[in-house]
Amino acid sequence: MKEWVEEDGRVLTCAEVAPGHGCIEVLAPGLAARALPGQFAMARSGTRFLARPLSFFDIDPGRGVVAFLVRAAGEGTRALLCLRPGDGLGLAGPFGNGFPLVSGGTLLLVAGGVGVAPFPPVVRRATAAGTGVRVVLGARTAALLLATAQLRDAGAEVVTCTEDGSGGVRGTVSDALPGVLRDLLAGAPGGCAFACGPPAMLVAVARLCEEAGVPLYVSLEARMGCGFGVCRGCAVPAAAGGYLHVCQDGPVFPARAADLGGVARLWEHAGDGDGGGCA
Amino acid sequence: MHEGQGTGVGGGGPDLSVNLAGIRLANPVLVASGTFGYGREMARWFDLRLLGGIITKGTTLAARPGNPPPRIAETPAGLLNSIGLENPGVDAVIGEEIPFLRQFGVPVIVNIAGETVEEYATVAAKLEGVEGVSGLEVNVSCPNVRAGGMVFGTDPAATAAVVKAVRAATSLPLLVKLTPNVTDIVEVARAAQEAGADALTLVNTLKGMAIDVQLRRPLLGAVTGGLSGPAIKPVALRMVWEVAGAVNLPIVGCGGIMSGRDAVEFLLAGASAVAVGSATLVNPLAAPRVVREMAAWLAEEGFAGVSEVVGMARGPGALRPGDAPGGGGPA
Repeated sequence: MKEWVEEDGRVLTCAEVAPGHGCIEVLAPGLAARALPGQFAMARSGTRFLARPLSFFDIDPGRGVVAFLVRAAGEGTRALLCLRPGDGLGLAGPFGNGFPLVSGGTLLLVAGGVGVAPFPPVVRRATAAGTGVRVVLGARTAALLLATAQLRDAGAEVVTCTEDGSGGVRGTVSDALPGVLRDLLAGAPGGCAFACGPPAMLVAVARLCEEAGVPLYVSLEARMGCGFGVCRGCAVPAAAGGYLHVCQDGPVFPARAADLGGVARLWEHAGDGDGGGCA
Repeated sequence: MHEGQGTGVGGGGPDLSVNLAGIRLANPVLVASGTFGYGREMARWFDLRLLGGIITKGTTLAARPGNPPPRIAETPAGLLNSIGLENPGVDAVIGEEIPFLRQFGVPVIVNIAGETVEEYATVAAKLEGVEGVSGLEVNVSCPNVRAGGMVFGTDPAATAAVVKAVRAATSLPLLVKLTPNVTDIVEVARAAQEAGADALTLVNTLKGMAIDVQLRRPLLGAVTGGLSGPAIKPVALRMVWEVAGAVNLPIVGCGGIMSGRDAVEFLLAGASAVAVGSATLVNPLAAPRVVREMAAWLAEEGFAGVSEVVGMARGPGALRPGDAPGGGGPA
């Protein structure tokens, strides 16, 4: 079976799930048969020149369906959220490495905002492998806490935090994380953590996991040209100097491999325009 | 989902083959430097034998890490890139990339760049006699490096100096890729021809920029980048037209080609071959699709071969460069 496919998907549903966020379900059997948790597809919006990288929010090989959780960040993603059932959607993928498979023990997932997008498939795969999953999910307000139902349905225990206190713990994921990490380490040594969200959050999560001795993988985003390695456009600073390429080396990296502070400086303006990557 | 093995045209179809400065191409569709890597990723998408030829990523003497990110910005009908010639260096390309590429039997043209005239010549000399390299494309047009690249290509004398040095270092067919960021591209094209170029690739990207309004600062880490995609096609086409009327070298037309029809426009303007670039980033199957569409068009229109179409828009009866004032509306 070819590893990558270029596929004309058919939109099944496209609905707003929170202010400025939508979920698009697409009939794309080729992608559904191949995609792994943490990988992404490139989606052509029809109105913009470049395709947009979107993490798989759901992968259902049985139905031949994949889903994407999309934040309206710029014109391209806004156009995607205007799709209607029956519309065609040009897709290519699945690209990137995806998250490592964790068997046994406990897996901790930390997500900020639309950074939760790649996690439901991760939870399903982990629980199937007998791994307990805890999720710390942060957002500005309760209305922006995304995918809590999907995560719980998939078998995860979910802790929510909101900056305004309207849902769950008041504060950011960094406020809730030390307690969760203490529990995690007390209950099951050998745990592991995955994080996806704003780079500033990733910096804080990496510091806390480092202090707790919990290995962390982060899913990064970058402005992308192609998504599959030929343009070299999606460079992010590497911890060892030089650059990593999000589409080919990632989007999932050991937290120590990337210069997360450098990545955060690149994305201080996240929110203006399509960022792409794993969101 | 696999691409077909042929061009979609039966034995009775038009002859698609082209002799480009001594390089035999099965069809006139090449892939442009910097949009195809060294073929490894693309070989996972389609049979590379479907292409007329492959122009590699710009290759320098030493490995280069490339420019600080962000390196990509989207623009209306195109994109800006400031990759900055990221590449593993010529030795790694000779040792690892060319052996991979040559197994397909498709002509491989290595795009070379340097910071000095000597570096270009050294890279060319290293590629001399390497099995599987059919030609060189001298990159005097990359807008994203501080030294070399476009610095040479905007000056006819500097372009000539680079081409002369590379000409002396290689027996391979020599393409020279020119920058559109000049007042008079014909002047630079003539300088390249006189210095020993065998063919010209027109054009590289247009230097541009984008600004992040929220941050009040440039979007690209390198501030400026090269604009490519459909946005630049009219400019590229006009330059092919001008040069084809003034210089006696085959031209590879490049800039915004998304379809067979776009490719045909370049042939009609006087290009002997075309290179598909940004289209590949958007749809990895774009280049073989351009081959199919072009072949279908030639067949439908009853042409026996590609050469019949080359320069057809120029006449007889077509205006020559300089025959008429610019093609604007009423003055």
